[in-house]
Amino acid sequence: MDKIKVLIVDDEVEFATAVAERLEIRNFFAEVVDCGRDALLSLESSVPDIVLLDLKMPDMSGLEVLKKIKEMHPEVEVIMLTGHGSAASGLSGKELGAFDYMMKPVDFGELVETIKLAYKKQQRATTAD
Amino acid sequence: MFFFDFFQGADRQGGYMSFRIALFLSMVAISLVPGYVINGLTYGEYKKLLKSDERDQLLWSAQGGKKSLEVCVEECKSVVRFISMDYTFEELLDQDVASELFARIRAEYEGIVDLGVIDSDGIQRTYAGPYRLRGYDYSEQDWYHKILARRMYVSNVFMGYRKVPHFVIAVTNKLPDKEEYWVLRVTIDVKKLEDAISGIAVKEVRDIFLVDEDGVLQTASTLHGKVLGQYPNFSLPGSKKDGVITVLEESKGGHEMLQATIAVEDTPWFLVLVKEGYVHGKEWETFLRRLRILFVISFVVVLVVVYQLVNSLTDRLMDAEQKRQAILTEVEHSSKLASVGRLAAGVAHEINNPLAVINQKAGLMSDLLELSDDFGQKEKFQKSIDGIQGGVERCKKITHRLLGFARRMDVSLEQIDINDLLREVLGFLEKEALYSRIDIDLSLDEALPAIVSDRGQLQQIFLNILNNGIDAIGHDGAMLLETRQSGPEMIEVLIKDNGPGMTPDVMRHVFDPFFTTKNAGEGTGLGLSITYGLVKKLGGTIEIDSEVDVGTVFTVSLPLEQTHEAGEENG
Amino acid sequence: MENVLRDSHLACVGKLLAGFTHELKNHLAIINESSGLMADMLEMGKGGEEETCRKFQKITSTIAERVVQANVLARHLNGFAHRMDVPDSVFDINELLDEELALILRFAKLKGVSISSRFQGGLPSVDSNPALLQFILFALIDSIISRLECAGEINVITLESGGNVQVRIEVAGATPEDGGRIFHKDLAELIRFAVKKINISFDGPVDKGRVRFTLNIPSAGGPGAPC
Repeated sequence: MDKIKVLIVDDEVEFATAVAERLEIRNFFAEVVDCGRDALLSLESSVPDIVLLDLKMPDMSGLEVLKKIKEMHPEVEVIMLTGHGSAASGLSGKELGAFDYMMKPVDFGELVETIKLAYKKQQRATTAD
Repeated sequence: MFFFDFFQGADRQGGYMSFRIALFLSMVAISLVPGYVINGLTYGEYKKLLKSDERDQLLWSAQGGKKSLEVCVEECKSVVRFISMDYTFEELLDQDVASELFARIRAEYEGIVDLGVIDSDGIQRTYAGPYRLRGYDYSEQDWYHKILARRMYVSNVFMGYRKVPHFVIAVTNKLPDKEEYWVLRVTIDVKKLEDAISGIAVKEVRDIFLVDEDGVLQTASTLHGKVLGQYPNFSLPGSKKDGVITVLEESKGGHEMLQATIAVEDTPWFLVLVKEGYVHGKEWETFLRRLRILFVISFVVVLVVVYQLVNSLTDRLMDAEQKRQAILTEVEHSSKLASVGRLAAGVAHEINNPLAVINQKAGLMSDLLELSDDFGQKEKFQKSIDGIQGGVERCKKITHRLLGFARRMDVSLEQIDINDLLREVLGFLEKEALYSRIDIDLSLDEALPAIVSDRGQLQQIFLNILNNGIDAIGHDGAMLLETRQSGPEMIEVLIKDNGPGMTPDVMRHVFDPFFTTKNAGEGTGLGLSITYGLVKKLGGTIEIDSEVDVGTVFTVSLPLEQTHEAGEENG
Repeated sequence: MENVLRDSHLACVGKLLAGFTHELKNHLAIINESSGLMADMLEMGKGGEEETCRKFQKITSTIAERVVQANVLARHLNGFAHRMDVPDSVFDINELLDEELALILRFAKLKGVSISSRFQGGLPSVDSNPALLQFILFALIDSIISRLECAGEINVITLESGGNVQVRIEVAGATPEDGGRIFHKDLAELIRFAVKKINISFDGPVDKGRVRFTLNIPSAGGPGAPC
């Protein structure tokens, strides 16, 4: 099985790198970008399986980035991470096609589980095609 | 605009007072001034009318008086004229004839004092009367010269030789064959005139008398003394035959006096009538009295009506202003709460960020530790990492709670699951209960319907009651929270504790403001009275049942739906 | 009664918030202690492999930083909450503004509005209602942030003026029309009502062609302790 490729988009770099490192320890392939624009740029060069997307970023809102990602690569599953944790924005993320939303600070075990679930869903979708 | 200014400045109590006074005064003025002006005008007009009426009446009286005087004088004149025509000079020179004639006239006409015949040299040739005046020389006397100029003459009143006031009527007759005149002279007592005057009936006349053109009294005056005294206020009526009215500013009592003066024709006299001013008229008095009563009554009525009106108006204004203030206060309060909520939520989110970092870093350390070989302090490291992660977990719980708490700040009515709310409230108190070793058990009816109410206020209600319970128990005790549906539209929350309980006396006062069983300085004593107010405000009731050494049960009943009135009611 | 109720409601909210922040700080302290302990052990070379050791050292310093960051926020919220408890008191306006701005900064950042402050040192303490003042300032700044159409800059200035302490909130580059929009009718009524209640003279939204709100707060007398 290939490593699951995860793109972490978060302006809080410390958080993102820590998560990335921990994911790598758990045999994921993780990449970190710190803003929406870079995320979209990185998507052009390589398509990840899963995107962990922070809702609140300085340059563009997480929901915008989510829309763009879904336009470019509908098969990519996006998990919203949010400190700005009103259920409403998480829900609107889900409406826009996000796989799930999680409130910061997230429990890492839960995060890994969610990524795995998202990946499974994606695999099912691609094999069904 | 002055009302507007007042209204603007009226949010202070003082403003209302001056507004009230100004409004009151201006309204009194507005309602009284026109009435009083009309009243004054009417008063003036009426006074004028009365005045002219009175003048006319006085003039009529004067004219009437003049007529009857003229009649009286004419009578005397005609007697004299008759004698002079009936008898010749020669006949009258006979003293016996004269005496007999005098006696006859006297019997007929009262007041005739004597009778004399004077020849052309002014010597009284015959005299009939009480004095011895035959042969008296009148040629030097004033009236004698005057009589020669006229055929008929009426003299002023004078004392003459007899020291009795009298006047003379004389008639001049030509001797038949010569260019000489003889004079028949009759002296008449002033009493005759006075009788005539007193026969003039004039209403409310103070004084009536005759004066000559020099103002010498010809008959006695009640105010100015005897005959031949000087009447000070006399003025010639001029050419006016109908008489004139003059107003005398009599100093006596300050009254105005009216005086009518009229010439008595063919005599040297003027009839004077003096009457006190109209103010003394009865009609006038009644009018004035009525006016005064009307004035006072209207004043009182206006005062009362305006007072009521102003009061209700300002009360209404104050009410409106107070309502506005109350609404503003309410808005201020709720937006204050909302801002607190937003800030708290912001902070909760903001704290979540570093917590996330800390969490992941700790996790990473844990991962790395797992991968690394055993070393001496590995366990200690793991323990520290666990400590960090535990701390983050608890912080997360708090920020979560903070978020929930904040979100509720600006909502007032919402669907509330009372069971959840009670659990939340207990979350706030866990620590305190733990420290005091108080077990709090729950017996919640999970089928309890949600109610529509104010979350913040409900929280405060239960916090207050629970706090009160914890305080009452002190330490080592138990509390039980129970919920149940008590009716189709009501739910009940029972809060039981096994604290010391209360005496019936304490129980009666427990909801009074500032009542407290705590020591001074420990509590404001407002807690339960506020709770009581809050429950009432939410349309519910609160009951208390307590027994000393057994415990206390608070029963809070809440409606499922807020009725409008309950929401409006103030605690 | 209604007022007592409101005040006690606010006080209750304040107490709850203070409780929250207090607890937060406790837990942050535990985190800090644990992380500090590790840092000490690493210092003493008890960290096992060298590479792990280095990483650990980096991590613990990051954690310490973040704890400080969280602590500052908790402290500000705590101060804010405590102010809601006391009706009238003598306090340092700079301190209150510092705290409030720190709390508001987040909203401003989201909208791309920057906030700069210039506080005069050694200002006399003011005697006022901190909760209400806090609210007035928040309401004003919040309205500026949410109604400013483009990115802007808010300058908050304090200075002493004629025995009073003056707080000026200026919006750089805003037009008088912006001022009217910021200080809309409802807010104006509310603010005017609030300032009257605590005897503060207020001026705004436009002053000499610039959008500026000025509050004159009576000072308590003696010079306040510098913060």
